[in-house]
Amino acid sequence: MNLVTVNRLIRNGVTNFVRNIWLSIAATSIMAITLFIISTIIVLYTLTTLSIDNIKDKVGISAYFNNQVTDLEIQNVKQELEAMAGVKQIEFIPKTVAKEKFIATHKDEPLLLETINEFRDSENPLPNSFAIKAYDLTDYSGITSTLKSERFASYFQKIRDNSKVIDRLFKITDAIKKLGLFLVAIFIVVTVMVMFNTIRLTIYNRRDEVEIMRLVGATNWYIRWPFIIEALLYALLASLVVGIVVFALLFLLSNKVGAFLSLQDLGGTLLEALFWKILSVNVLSSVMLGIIASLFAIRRYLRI
Amino acid sequence: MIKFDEVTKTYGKVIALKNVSLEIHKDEFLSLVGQSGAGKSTLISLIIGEERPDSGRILIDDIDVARIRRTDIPFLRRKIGVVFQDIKLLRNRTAYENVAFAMEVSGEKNNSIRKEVPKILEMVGLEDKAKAFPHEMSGGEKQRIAIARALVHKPVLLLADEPTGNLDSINAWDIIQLLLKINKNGTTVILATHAKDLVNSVKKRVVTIEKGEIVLDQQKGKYVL
Repeated sequence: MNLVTVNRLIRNGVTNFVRNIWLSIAATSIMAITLFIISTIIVLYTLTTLSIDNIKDKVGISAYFNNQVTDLEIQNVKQELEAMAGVKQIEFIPKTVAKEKFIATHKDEPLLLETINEFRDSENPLPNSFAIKAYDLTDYSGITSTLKSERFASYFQKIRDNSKVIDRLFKITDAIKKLGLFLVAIFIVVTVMVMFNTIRLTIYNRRDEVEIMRLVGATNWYIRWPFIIEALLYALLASLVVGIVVFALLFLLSNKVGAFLSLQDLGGTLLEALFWKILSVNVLSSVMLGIIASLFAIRRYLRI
Repeated sequence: MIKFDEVTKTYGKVIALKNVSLEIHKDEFLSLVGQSGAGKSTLISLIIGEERPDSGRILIDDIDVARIRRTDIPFLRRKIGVVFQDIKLLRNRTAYENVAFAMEVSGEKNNSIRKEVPKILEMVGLEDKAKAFPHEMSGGEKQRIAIARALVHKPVLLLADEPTGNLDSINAWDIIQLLLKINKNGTTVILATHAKDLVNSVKKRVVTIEKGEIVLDQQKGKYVL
């Protein structure tokens, strides 16, 4: 295929697009909506995953000892727990350190400070505790139940396990993924159908031309290409529009979203990477949908 | 150059052609006559690979059109020009563009299109109508443009299926004269028609088809049905 032919095919494709401008706009719009949904899902998914990574480090179990537990007992419990599968690290936080931490955390709250300072060191109400980290998020529930089991229950007055937060985040990501895939599936079907129909109409409108092309010896692919190019135009135009919208939204809303999800590192490079990822996914998927729709329409309606 | 060898073609239960054997020589001018539905158009469709026969062979310069690959059909059609009764010009293109269109779709370079199209328009006597749209031309002129389009690939064979069907007698006669001129320049012409007077005045070979069978084949023949 030489350059002159390629040029003619593209021109024919553009003519197809322009001649049915309203249909073309409709097809492009529906494609754009689909791409926008795909983009939104990518953004949401990326942000929740990031946010999970971010707070993963803060997850852990705090196990507070009863006051009468001795140092030796604490040593034994520590050794025993460290031998448990899934336990990564156990940090002993003596009540003195707990008090310091409490003071540091509440340094702007004079009433609380006053209250804690009422106690002498020997009366320190804050208990000794373990800060336990697991290798994997899924290990936490097992560790918690061990701590609450008969063997250990008598040592502890309270077990606090904040891994539930992560659990909830996981559920959210999972829901986003499921809902997203469901929406994307529906819109992909709708998009392919709308594009299929648009190209079918173009084929119908150009039936005289197609007939003459055949009679004067145009090859089958010369006849087919303009319809595929038409679909590619829908795809690329929709990608471009959605690309601009996503770019604008990402950079306008990045601060608010970052603050909301307590992500400090939602910086330019990350957004840039996310944008390019979205753009390439959009271009690839729209081009694929365009080709599928046009090939279906051509196969079904273009008699050559 | 064209040989039909025991060709049969049916559409469901209707027999369009039945055991047709026919040989057409290079540079010949052949009138194919018969009533509507006799099988003339089927014969033309078979030559351009539009239809495939149920049995038999159709040879054009040793190529068996009945067995040609689908992807080769476009190249076959560049060797054969076709003209129809309903002309089939593109309404939104000028005479020049309609002729150029045939060259464009087969990948001809722009400068060879610019060189060839005026020559062909001149040959059909319509160089002054280059910029006219089909609705600005008479039936005869439109048919000449269709003939010009059929000639751009310099075909070895020109098939004319009822080219004068929609024309008055003067215009019809002009078209026949043009076809004779094309034939004289070395292109084989097959004219399918039921215009009795025209066939009789041409005084060339006449093949008569009736109900899908060749009933008469005369050199310098007449329309006898």
